[in-house]
Amino acid sequence: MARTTNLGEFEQIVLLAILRLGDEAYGVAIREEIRCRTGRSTAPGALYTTLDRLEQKGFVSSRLGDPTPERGGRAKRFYAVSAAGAAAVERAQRSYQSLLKGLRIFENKHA
Amino acid sequence: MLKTLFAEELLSLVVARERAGAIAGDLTEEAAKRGPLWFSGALAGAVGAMFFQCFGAARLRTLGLLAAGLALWIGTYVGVRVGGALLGLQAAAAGGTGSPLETAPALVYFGATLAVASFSTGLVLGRIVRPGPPSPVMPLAVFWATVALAAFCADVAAGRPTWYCTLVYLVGVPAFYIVPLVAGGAAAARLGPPGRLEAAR
Repeated sequence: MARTTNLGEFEQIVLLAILRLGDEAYGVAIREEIRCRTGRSTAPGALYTTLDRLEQKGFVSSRLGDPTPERGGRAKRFYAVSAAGAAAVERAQRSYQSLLKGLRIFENKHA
Repeated sequence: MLKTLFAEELLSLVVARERAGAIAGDLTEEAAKRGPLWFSGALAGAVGAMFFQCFGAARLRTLGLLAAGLALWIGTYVGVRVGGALLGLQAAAAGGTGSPLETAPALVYFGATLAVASFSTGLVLGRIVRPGPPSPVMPLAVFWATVALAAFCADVAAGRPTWYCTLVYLVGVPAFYIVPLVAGGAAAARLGPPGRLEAAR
C-alpha cells in the first residue's frame, strides 16, 4: 500500500526514466537513460537504494527476468512504475509547474 | 564468473540474495565496458550505500548487533588466548623469548587467534540472530573497517605513518578481523535456518 508522500528530485528522475524505458527498465538501462537525458552520472549505490525505497513506498514493482551469460549468469530485475508512482510523479510535476507559472526567469535566456 | 560470485556474496550481506544477484549481474554487465577498477569502486559504493540505508531503517537493530558483536568478539578472543596459553601454544609460539610478538611464529599465532575469534564471532552471530538485511556481521565488519581507516588517516595527518602500522591497518585488519568475520557469517547462513534470537529493532 503506497503512502502519500512527496518525491525527492532523484526519485522523480528515476521514476521518469523507468516510465520512458517501459518494459526494458533494469539497473543498467535506467542509469544509461538518466545519463543520456540529464547528463548526470549516477552512482550504482544511489540508484539501487532509491529503487529499493521507491519499491517500499509502493511506487514501483519489480520482477526477475532470465539469467544471461554476459551478466555472469545473473537475471535482470525489471522495474515498472505503479499507478501510485505515476500519480506521485504527476503531482510533483504539477507542483513545479504551479511554482513556475508567472515567473519570468526564462524570458531573457529565450529572447 | 568469479567476480560476479564475489559481488553477489558481498551484496547479500546488505540486501536479499535475489536482489544481490541482480545487482551483481548489472555491475558485471557494465564492467565489460568500464573495466575492473570501475567494478570494484561501484561494488564498494553499492555495499556502503545499502548498508547505511539499512542502518537508517533499523538503527537500534544495527547498534544492538554492533554491541553484541563486540562483546562476543572480546569474549571469544579472551577465551582463545586463555585456551592457547593453557594448552602451551602461546609459549611454544613465543619460542621462549618472553615477548609474544618478537618472532615470526608468534606473529602467526597472534594473527591466527584474531582470525579464530573473528570467525567464531561471525559464526555465532549468524546462528543466533535473525538474518538481515543487513547481515548480523555487517555492523561489526563496518566498525572494524572504520576504525582501521580512521587510524590510518590519523597517522597520515600526523605525518608519521610507519610501514608496520600501515600494514596492520590496510592488510591486517581486513585479513584477520573482517574477512574471517564475514566468512563466519556466511558459513552460518549456509548451515540452516538461524534466527533464534531477535535483535532489538
